[in-house]
Amino acid sequence: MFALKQRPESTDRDLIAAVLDGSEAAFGELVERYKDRVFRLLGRYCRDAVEREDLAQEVFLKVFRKLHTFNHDAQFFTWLYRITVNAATDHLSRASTRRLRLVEDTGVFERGDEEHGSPSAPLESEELTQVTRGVVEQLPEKFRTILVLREFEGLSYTDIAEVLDIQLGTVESRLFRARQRFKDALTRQHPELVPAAGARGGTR
Amino acid sequence: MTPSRDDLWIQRYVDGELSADDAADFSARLLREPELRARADAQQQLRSGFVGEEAAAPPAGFTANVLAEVRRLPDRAELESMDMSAAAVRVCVRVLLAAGLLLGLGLAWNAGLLDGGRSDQLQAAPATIEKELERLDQLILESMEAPPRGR
Repeated sequence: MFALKQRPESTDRDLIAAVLDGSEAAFGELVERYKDRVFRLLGRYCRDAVEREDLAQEVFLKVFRKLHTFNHDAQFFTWLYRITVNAATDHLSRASTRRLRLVEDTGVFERGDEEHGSPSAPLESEELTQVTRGVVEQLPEKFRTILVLREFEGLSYTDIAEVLDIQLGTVESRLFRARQRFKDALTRQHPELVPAAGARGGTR
Repeated sequence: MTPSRDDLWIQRYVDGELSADDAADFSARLLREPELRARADAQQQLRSGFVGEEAAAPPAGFTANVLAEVRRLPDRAELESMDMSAAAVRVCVRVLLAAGLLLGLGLAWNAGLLDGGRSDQLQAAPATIEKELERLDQLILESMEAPPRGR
């Protein structure tokens, strides 16, 4: 879990005002402040380091170009996250169109297949993380994104609603459905990892 | 796959989204209801694979690269003006689309392609039309036979 508000928003506001006044240094500070979060978030969608860097650069250039449209009623990081999520999902969509699965390049799925052949084999914590990631990557984009924002990024429901521009109730129901889909996929591929009551669900 | 009320409470509880009072009340409920407790534990356990993954980090020199790209962009006033131009183009396109849609609907109505629209085709049954024409003929004949007024 990561702290998302390390500095007061007013500081972001000052930096934004300075950037809009033409300060390159202020924009450099904004990039410095948020680049780790942007890379971390992009890393949930794209494993290729070069592609990830290109995407991150695209995100910050878009931030620079659109900064005058930023609404100060919102938090800067949720606006930035929205741009980042859009860039990442566009990237996935382009990759899908090219019929390339860029996220499959490090063998998680191959390993997943092997594990699928011996579902009762116990998994180490690192493998569990890899399996989890592999399952999340197979989910439809909207379920994947909400799980990434909640489980990996630790965003509150309110922040998720702001990033995705949806109602709080929609966040809750979509998150629930995403977890159900995640559990179903995990049950198919690694039934030994699914807790008994969890496998039962609680849905109607 | 509609979540029940308990499903949502468990989710909020596990995610730490309940107020302190609600969380305390729900904790007490979990102690009283083992089945509910098991569901909450299962959901908590399901999340264990989400922790511990190494996060991607930016390479050295990333900020400098971004700033170098920024320097290649047009200046801010130009960017804003481009943004406004793009917005104006979008508005114009929408207005043209709306006008085209209205024109299309109007033409379709005029051609009688829409329910309730104008139609030059006779809608009545032939027998009714024949009867109405006969009635009109009769009226014309009566008016011709009637003596002229005012003389």
